[in-house]
Amino acid sequence: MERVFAMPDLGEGLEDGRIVEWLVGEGDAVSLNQPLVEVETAKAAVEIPSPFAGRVVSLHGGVDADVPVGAPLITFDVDAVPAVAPESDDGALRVATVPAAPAVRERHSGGPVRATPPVRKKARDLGVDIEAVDGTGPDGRVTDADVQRAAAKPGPERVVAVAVQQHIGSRLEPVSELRHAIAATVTRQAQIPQVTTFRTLDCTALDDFRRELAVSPLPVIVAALCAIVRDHPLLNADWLEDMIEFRDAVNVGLAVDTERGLLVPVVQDAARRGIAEIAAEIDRLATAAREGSLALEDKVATATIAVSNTGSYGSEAGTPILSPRTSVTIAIGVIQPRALVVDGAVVARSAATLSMTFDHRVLDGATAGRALTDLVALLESPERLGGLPR
Amino acid sequence: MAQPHAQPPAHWSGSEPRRVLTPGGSLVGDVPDDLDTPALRAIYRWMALARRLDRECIALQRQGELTVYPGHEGQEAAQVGSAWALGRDDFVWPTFRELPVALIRRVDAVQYLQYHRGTWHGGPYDPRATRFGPICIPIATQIAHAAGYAMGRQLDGSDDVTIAYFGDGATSEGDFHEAANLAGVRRLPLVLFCQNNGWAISVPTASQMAGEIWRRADGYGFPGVRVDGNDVLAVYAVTREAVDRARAGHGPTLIEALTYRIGAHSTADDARRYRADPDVEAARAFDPITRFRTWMVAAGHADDAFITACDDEAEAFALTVREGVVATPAPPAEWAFDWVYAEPPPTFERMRAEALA
Amino acid sequence: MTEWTLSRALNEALRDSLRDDDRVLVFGEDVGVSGGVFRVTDGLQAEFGDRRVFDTPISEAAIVGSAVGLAFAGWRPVVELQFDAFSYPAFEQIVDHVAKMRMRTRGRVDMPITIRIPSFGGIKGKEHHGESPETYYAHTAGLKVVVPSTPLDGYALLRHAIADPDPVVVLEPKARYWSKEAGELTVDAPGIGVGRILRDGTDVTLVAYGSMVARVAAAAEQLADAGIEARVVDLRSLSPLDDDLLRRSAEQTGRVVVVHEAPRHAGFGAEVAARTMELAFDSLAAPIARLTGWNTPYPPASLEDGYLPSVDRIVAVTKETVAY
Repeated sequence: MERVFAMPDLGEGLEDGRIVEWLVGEGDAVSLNQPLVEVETAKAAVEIPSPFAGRVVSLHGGVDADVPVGAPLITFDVDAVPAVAPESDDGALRVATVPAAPAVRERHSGGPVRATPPVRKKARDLGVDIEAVDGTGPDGRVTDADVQRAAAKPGPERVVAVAVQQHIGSRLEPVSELRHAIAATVTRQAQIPQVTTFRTLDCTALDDFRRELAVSPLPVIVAALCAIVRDHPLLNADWLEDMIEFRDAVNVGLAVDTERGLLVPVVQDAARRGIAEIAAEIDRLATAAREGSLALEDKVATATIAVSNTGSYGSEAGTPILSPRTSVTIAIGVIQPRALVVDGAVVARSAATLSMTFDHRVLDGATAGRALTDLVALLESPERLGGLPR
Repeated sequence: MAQPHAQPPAHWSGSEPRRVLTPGGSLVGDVPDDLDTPALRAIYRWMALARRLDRECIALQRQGELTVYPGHEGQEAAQVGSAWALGRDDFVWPTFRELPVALIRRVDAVQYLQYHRGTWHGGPYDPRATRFGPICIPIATQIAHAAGYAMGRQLDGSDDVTIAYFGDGATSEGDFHEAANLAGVRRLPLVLFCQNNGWAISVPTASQMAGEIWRRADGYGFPGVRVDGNDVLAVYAVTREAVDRARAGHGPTLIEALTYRIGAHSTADDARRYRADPDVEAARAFDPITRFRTWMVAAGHADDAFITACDDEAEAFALTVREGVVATPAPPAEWAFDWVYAEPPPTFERMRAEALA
Repeated sequence: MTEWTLSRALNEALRDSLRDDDRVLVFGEDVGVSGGVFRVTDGLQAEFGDRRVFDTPISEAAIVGSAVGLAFAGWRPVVELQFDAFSYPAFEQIVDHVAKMRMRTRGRVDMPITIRIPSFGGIKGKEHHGESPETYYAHTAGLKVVVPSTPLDGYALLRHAIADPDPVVVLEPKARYWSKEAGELTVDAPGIGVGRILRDGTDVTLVAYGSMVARVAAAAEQLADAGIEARVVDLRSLSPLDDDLLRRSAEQTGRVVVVHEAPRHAGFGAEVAARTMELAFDSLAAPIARLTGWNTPYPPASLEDGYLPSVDRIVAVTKETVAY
């Protein structure tokens, strides 16, 4: 059986050895530890004894040849049986696995634009190319507001390389920056395990109450939601992997449909506002959204919970996708007369479907159900509606 | 055959050492009376095994199976003689050159050699089970460990004795001084065994110190003794006395065993750069195994058959160790993490996961 | 309610450890008869005898080296190295042997050794009496390093350290030995590797350990008056480091200031900053600030105040960080 003996490292990291003299010839029979060759290294001249008993098949290198450590030195034909692993009280000594070098992390190319990490992340989240944003911060730094502004502007028309086969008779329309941003957001948000639970809301009391206050149903629902959040704090919480963050303030995101797409302005600290103030704020935000003049603090990033008025475009029930950093969206479908069973009789009542989409990591069905039941109970109770701050 | 008129090594000059056998193998002292023929034969056998294994290890290194190996040729009597004087529960604190002592303490040679194969630090044997400490590279640091261990046994009221092995160079380190001083002031049950082999890598003893090592004991308040380290009977006698003293609670002893490092400091050292071959050849005239064999045979404790049997056994032993060493694989990557902490913190576990992914 | 100084609380921790585990030994220079130059070992020899509490010669290397041997013999040594800079003669024994012995013996021999070192400055001390050696030891794999800042927590940390089967270096802030805190001494406190929030806040996180914790807490009070709510984090443990607390703090406040006495270059603040950045990069609204001693040897007593981070400097740097 052929065995190749490689040039060993003869002393603490030497790279090679120079052959001074062969002490055996090809074809010679050699015994274990018989001197084979004299080798000179950077440190000393050294005689190498044979590691095997057998016959020399070939010598790899002539006199004065430099043989690198690890390169073949002599090939033997050995008759020896390979040795067995020694018994060790450590159990079986396993074959070494050299760990792979850790993968080099791809570095984010900062480019010439200066911006802090949260701003860069915001830009990524909104699909804004931060390199193209003018910075208004100190030393020309790009600020959060700059990014938000860039996100709201329609971007230049983008030429999209279309890899799919275009159908005959169809046409292509480039996607705006905002649509890209929305698409990115909803795609990411859709990853969250979210489900929706539904209740039918008898809107009789709600209708009477809101007409009395001369507001639309939405501000009342927002106020009612704030009231029940006190008893159901998970509604206003956020999943942080190994922790759940309970927020004190209730910042309600409201989906507003605009020409350019869906925006979600936020009623800040809604729990501290009365219904009239909430209503005025909703109007202000809706107008600003449509005009494209939403301020930084009005933006979706600050929402802790959301409400979607899906009924505003005729939907009877909605399963909206959760907004970023929220665990719950309440959706109110269209309020219209329906046949309800009241005290055993079928009657026509103003009604709507109230749904709660929730993050299943944060809430389970029972918790969400209880909260929705409580919300419905409040909205159906003239006494409790009367107790809401006006 | 020994040459009685050969010049002894330079560092053997000065005070006359204790001696039982002359370099030529003649009796000039008392054979320790607790060494009967079987014991003497066992001592010879260990020395022969140690010498043969040393040669095999050098060969293994030249074949790339060991990385760097520090040889002990010439020091067999100093190590075997002293180790023979220890009780079963006594504890040895070695340097990196005490393979003969390790063998006598029943440390598995293949496990011991893993240190020199680069497959583990310190040797993977169990120090508490073998009563043989981990191989220690930082010079003299093990002497402080030995002092601490001796203190620990003393505090438990045990009569176990601790022995620290070290070389001439180690006596220049602060740790030697601090440990010896501590041993003296607390009368620790500690034997300080110095193998003065003439060289600290390339630095001869004359450049290492001005005084004689054994005399320093006086400064620490305990006895010192100089012994011919190549005379296994004298080494045994002197060590036995020191061990008995310690066991009886009379404190430490410093033993300076005069010997000679026949080989280079290690296989990574070219001794010809700093010492002449004739000096080494002259030192061979004082070979410990030769003189003991001469006396054993002359005194009727051994015959040629026995000597041959020892050589054969040593040959077989060396080959068995060779097989074991060559078959020892590199350890798995996770072993670099497995024993760092008794209670690894989560941050450590995360890094382990990162490294082993 | 009993009022405890840090020295007295640590003394009690040693006492309770000696009482609970008869393998605990306490030794070092001047710790026996005299009770330690900071009285931390006061009364222990009288109570437990000179077999378990004893004085050694001036031999730092042998103090630690013999602790290694004692651990082999089944003892649990608690050694004192009298001052920070005087731990250096023992440095080799600490990093080559105490830290490595368990791995070297494949887990067969533990090093349940506690090395107490009165450390840091602020006492108008002589040269070599005000060093911050924490990074040398925290950098050494195999060691654990804790830094108490207050009496009650000092009791808990020292007891945890002594009970730990791994070697622990305890750097005691000598400038705080006489600081007082009322309360119950208890081991019922987070263990090694966990930091604590001494004061919560949302605007910025101030990270400190040892003697700087009190200064940082004082700065937080001043900052509150200026409308800045700072979270104060006492690391307690440098190795292992509570990087989860750092991550959460950066995520929740977005701004971090680290304060330590040691020189800035390669100081422990660099590890805190790097780790926080690795774990919470996207949350950082400002660069992590390191407020430290200057890159000079520790100055003479009369220049000490210009070297140590003052409350005013902490306030100023924090305000800059918040305004970034």
